[in-house]
Amino acid sequence: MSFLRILYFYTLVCLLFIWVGLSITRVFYNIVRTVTTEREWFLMTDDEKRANLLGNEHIFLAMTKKTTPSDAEILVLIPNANILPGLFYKTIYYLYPRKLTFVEYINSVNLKDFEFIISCSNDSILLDVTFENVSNLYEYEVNNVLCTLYRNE
Amino acid sequence: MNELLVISLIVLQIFVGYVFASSLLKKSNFSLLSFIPISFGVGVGIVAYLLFVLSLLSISWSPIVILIIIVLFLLLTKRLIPDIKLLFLPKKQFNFLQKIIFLFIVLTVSYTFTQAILRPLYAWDGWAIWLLKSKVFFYDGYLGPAIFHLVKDSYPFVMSLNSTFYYIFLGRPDDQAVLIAYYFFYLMTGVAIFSFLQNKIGLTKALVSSFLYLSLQNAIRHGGRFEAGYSDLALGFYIFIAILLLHESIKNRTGKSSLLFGIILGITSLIKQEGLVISMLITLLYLYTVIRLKIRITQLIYVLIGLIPVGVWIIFKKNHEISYSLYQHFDIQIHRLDEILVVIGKELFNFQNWNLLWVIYLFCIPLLLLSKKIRYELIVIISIILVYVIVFLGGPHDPAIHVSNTMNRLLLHIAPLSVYSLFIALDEAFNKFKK
Repeated sequence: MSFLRILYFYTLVCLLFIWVGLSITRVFYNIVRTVTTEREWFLMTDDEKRANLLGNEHIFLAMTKKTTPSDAEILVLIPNANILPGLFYKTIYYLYPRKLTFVEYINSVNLKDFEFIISCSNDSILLDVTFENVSNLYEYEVNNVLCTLYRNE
Repeated sequence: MNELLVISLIVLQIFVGYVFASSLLKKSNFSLLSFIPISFGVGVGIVAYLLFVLSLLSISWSPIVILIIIVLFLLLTKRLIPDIKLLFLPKKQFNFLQKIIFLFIVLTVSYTFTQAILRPLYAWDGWAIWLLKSKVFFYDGYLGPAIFHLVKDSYPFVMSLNSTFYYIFLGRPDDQAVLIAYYFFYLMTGVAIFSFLQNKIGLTKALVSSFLYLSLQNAIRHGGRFEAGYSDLALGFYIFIAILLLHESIKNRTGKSSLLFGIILGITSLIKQEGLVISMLITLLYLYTVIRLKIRITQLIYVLIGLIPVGVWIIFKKNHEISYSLYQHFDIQIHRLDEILVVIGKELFNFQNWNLLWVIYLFCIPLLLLSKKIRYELIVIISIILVYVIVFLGGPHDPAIHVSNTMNRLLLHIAPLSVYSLFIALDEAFNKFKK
């Protein structure tokens, strides 16, 4: 049996032992992590867990869900969808079966058709001028963008 | 409480899958333990197909209707009571070392289970694809095309309808409880690796291989921790089961075993879009074997019968003009190859995700190539990697970002098959080395 072959097999055995060692270490690490840094998760309510994971995105959408009836028609105005890539999907996820209409420009729809309006924009002039007959229910900063829920009066 | 109900529904799925699979497979070739993951895979598929067919026929998805159909299905297959002998695991006395390894397995799967029930959905694909559709289908009461057009994708339905099935019985969407189903794909992959290796390489090595797979941090994350909600672990599970049944179909050469192999291939195709391509690869491999070994062509027909739901889904998509794809403008740019290979290499050496799996796999390439028992596994693994490299070469995204974002998930597709084939090759090589 050649030396190289023997060397190959012993190296392989060493690598396998290291793999097993790493895996065992990981088991202990995971257990330690569960009882130390992750202990707080066991004590949180469902709402707190979601807020912890998603921040204001959750708080804003959960409040919108609570505020709006399940058959509400909601206009979602996101002028620049690229700055909030997840909000499109999460809005549908949280608010379905409410009827959602997504637009980038307010001019493209008739505001009267909607009972509620979600606007995510930092352009306060646009908001003040556009929504004259609506009341601002609440607002949260989501990923540095101001998201507001309006009710159409 | 919802978690308990989801676990009960998963047990029901395993039972339904068992009844169906045991009517097609020779039980003498399988232990109960190896039947359980197959049954789970079949059960998930049957439930998703059932909801899809009910939706096509405009029949309500009420729990009573679903239960009646399941009971009728069980009666029709005439295998309502499983073989009592199979209900008990063969009594095997673990030695001290085996007990220690088993303890580590229990600790690992318990940890992942805790993680699965600890947090609500966080995974991006869960929000944007799988559980989003589950929720929409649940509220709509049928599988409609509108959501596909709204989110502009055409992903298949098995994973989404499986979660919708749980929602129907829970009475409301619960995106924390359904993560247990994702955990079960993790657990069942570990069970399948152990149970199918046990007879081939022995109890201790099978336990070690199963432990090494289950303790991969990437598998743990997708099985319960933060990334439960992606479907890559499920796809890896189905690819693995499909290859195991490919061997069975070739060995047994019965129409029934080929049909079950075809059904698993069909479900694999409808897990994710990649599943369709991989199923086609495996079907081609089967076709090659049919020709090479002069197996009766009717076997192939049975496999194709199992793929009928895939055809129905394609027709459904065509009828409703659901044809969204990231790769509509596919343009192979060969100059990307260096960059792609570097990023893939980085992921293979990412010990945090994979421990030493891929390092040892690469180190063992000579042994893998020499082993005759794992030819199919090796062909499938290499083909899948080649397909992904081609997709990265031609896709619209910057490969530096795209590959690094997706490679850890794509490797999950081949991880179970890799652990399985690696240990068979190692066992063979060490036996020769000892001699």
